[in-house]
This record gives sequence, C-alpha cells and structure tokens, in this order.
Amino acid sequence: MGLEETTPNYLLVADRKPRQMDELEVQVEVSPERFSDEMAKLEAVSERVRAAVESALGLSVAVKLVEPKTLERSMGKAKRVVDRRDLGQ
Amino acid sequence: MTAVQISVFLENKSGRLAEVTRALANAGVNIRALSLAETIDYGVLRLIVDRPTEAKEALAAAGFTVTETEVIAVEMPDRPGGLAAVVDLITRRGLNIEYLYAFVGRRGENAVVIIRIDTIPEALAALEGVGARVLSAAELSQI
Repeated sequence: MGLEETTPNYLLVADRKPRQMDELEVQVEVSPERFSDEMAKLEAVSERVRAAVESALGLSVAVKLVEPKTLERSMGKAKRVVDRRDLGQ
Repeated sequence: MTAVQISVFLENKSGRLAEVTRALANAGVNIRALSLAETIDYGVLRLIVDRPTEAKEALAAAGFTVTETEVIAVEMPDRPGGLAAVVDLITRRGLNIEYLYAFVGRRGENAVVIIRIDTIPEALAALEGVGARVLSAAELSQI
C-alpha cells in the first residue's frame, strides 16, 4: 500500500455480533518516525488505509491505528488473521 | 522563535497514560503543561516539559511512540480577552491553527498559550510584528 505513516505490519480481526453481518477490522501500526500528532492527519491515515483496502478487495473494513511493535511479529509464519467469530451461531 | 513540544501516540489501553507519567517521573522530567486529544481507539498526549530532550529519550527507551513537535509559545496577560487578542492576531491573517492549549505561569500575572500551526513563519510574523511576547524554548522551560 506504501503508506509512509504506517509500518508494514498489520492484523486482520474478523468478528460477528449477534444477528449482524461479519465485521473485519484492519489494525495497522503507526510509524514511530512518521506519525503526526494532529488528529485530522491521523484520521486521514486511517481513511487512506480503509479506502485502499476497499478499492483492492471490495470490502468495507474498520481501520484501527495501534502503537508500533504491538502487533505480533512473525516467528516463521506470520499471524495476520484473528477470527473472533462464533461460527456455531 | 519556536518551542519544543513532546507528542506521544497512545492506544486507549488501561494504564498506558500512567506509564508515560511514571517514565517521566523516573527521568526527573517536570511537566509544565499538557493536552490530550483522544479518539475511541487512541490518543495523542502533547507535553511541555522542562527538559524535552531527556523526556523524549526516556519515553522512547520505555517503548513509547514519541516525537518532537515545533510549537509557538506566547505569553499573554492572564485576564479576560488575553487569549482572544493572541488568536485574533493569527486568524486575522487567514492562518489556520491546528490546536492550542494554555496554562497559567508561576508568577500568576501572565498565562502562556501553546499553538500548533503549519504556517509557523507567517504566524510568528503576525505575533512579533505587534510586539506579542513569543517565548523561546529556554524561556518556556524556566516558567
């Protein structure tokens, strides 16, 4: 995606609330060197990620900015997806 | 003439703010003013401290996402209209303030407003042109 305000690390979190459609959240780390302290600019970063995912995949996602180094680092195979859905419903 | 603000990106997690203040306390850094902007997921803590370099190093060493931000510090009379006069000087030139916050100085007669603006040279020209008291980083750290 090439957003310099974020690191290349991400995590996809799938969730399902009762009687609602499945939701997908994309967690992205802000770059420690490039983060802005202005809320409008941070929100613009979220929006650019959201729009890029929607454009590439046709999926509407929620984007959550997180602190650097908080997403699990790959130990061999990277863990990129967490599925919190209760598929027994 | 500008001053230095320390900005910290914080996820909304229980205890995260306390870890910042603890790291600064352990480094012997004194907080002079602060502002916290928040969203549902994260916040940005903006700090004016007596020793910005030490504060940034201590927070980075403690694992925080921290940066220095160039801001304008203006001293103004601590009375009704003091802030309005400063803001007028900037907005009259059509300049857009990103955010600001203020605190009362130790002497009690004056207050200080911290201003973050993209057009720093133009804002400084607007303020200094009419004799507003813009503080240096050293002056700010001694208030």
